Amino acid sequence: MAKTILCIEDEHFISELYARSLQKSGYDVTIMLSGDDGLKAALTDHYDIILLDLMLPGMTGFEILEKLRGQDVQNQIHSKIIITTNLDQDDDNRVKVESLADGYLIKAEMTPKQLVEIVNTIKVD
Amino acid sequence: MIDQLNSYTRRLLVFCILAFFFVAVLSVCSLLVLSNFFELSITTSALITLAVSLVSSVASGYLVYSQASFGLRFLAQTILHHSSSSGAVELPNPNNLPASESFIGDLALGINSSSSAPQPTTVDNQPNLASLSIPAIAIKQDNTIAYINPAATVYFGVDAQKIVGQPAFNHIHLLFQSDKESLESWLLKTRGQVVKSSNSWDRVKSSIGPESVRQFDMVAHYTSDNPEFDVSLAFMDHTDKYAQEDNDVGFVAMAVHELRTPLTTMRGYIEVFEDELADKLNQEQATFMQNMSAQAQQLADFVGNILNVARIEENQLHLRLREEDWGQVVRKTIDEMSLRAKVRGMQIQYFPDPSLPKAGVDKVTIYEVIVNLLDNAIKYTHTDQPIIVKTHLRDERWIETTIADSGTGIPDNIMGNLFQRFYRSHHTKKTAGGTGLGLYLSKAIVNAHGGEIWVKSEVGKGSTFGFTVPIYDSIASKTDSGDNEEITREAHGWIKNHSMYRG
Repeated sequence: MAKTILCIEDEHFISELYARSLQKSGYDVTIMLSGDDGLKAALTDHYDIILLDLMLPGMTGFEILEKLRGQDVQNQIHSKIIITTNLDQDDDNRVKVESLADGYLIKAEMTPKQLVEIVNTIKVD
Repeated sequence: MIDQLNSYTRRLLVFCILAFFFVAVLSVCSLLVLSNFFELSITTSALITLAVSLVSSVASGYLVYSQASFGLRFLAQTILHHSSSSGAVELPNPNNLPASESFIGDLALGINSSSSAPQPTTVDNQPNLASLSIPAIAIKQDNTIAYINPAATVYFGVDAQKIVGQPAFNHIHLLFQSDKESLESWLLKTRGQVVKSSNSWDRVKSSIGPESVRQFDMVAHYTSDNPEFDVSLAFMDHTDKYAQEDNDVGFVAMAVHELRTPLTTMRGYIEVFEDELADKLNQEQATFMQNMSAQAQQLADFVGNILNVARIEENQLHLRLREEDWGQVVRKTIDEMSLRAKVRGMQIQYFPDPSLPKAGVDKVTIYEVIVNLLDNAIKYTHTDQPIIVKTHLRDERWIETTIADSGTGIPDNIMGNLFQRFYRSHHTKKTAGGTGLGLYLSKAIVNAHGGEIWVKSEVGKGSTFGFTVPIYDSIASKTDSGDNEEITREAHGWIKNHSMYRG
């Protein structure tokens, strides 16, 4: 069965490129363009991997990360959460992301094909 | 005071000259009188004159010594009185000073008043902490608060009566920079191991309520022989300054974000075209596609440079030094730069020293140094000669890497400014693009590793840039091996090892 990926990314061109490359490599990809829809999808359906942008309309990626990996047991999920962002983090946020996420990728530093190569190395539960 | 000091030294000089003149005149007179009036032989006259000059020299020397050393002894006695905890040395009486040296009394008064002022880094007891105008806290061996001074209660917004005796770190939440050791881990290493030790941290944060954050530098002083408390902390507030610097970097980070978003899309579409149109493009179109890809990659690196320059300017470049196979780090960077060299008809040849020990580097930032130096070599070379990259062991502490090109070379008159920000010569502006950020950034990153960067160049023949990185064993104590085992970092980001099939 194909591994499932939820891509929460408001930049349509980027999500389209990522979905295209990942689907060609056999992944089942769902795109959500806003933070609220993204969180709802992450809590409703099980995804093996969540690619999470940080700057999102509505709920931010940070807030989603905290909800999915925070203290609230009801919200805890087993998906691997990989942050995909172009926003440099200050020290506090860097520490927060490192404690909660499974990975952190700078979008401008990789092409969609390189993203697929990285996603291929991720072990899902 | 300065006028009085100058007058005093002038008087000493005149005194010395007069003493010398007195001895010289006495000696000449003695020689003349003895030889002319007493008709003694020249040898006897000379011997008696020598004895007279010796006695007069000792006498005048003693007078000069007394004059010069009196003030010095007075000041030394004052300092010794304050530095001696037992008070073994008595404070000298300023009334004994002659009127002409009254300014020495004023200097001694200055020493008296400064020695009674609070000493922030050597606070050893509660009265000293209480008198400090900056916030200070004393902590007991069990990490409970022994004392908090009035300035600290205001600064941290706490009630002294409620928190004295309570666990210190439950009430004062200190956040340290991610690459720095925390106070607690320093205490774990220090307590019981040494008699006295001090440490300091900059850019420490503490939240005061939900909205307010204090930012400060902190000094900790540990002493094992104080029964009341073993650690005293002093805090120097820099909230406004650090907040301004954070805002500056934050603005650059936001601008970089806006640049990176279209760049990500462009790189994505270029890759789609390269993959899916490969067999449909003619040779020229395929070359155009490669050029576009190389340029987009170059732009991505440049945008990264801007961000790093902002971090360096605000002292926020944090290195994570790790044990790395240096030969592989260089090899991987060269592989990533090969497309950029290829589209300009260049070749990079690599000659690694296979017996190099492991390096202690921050792989992500040092990668940018190699990229910038290779990028320069590619830009400024217009011959078909390859760029030569070599690594070798320079000495027992440093690995040296050199990047040599046969390009335009650098004129002598601009060599001194080469590593400055935004510095480019008219000479090179005509023939190659660039911003002048690359070498500035490279120097800052190499220096942050403790290494050095250099250049040798000859106009028309080419340039060789070299830089050193430390051998891991020489800096092993400064690295955080724990992170090494948990996270795999690359230029594009990081993945936790437990989330990977390999790692």
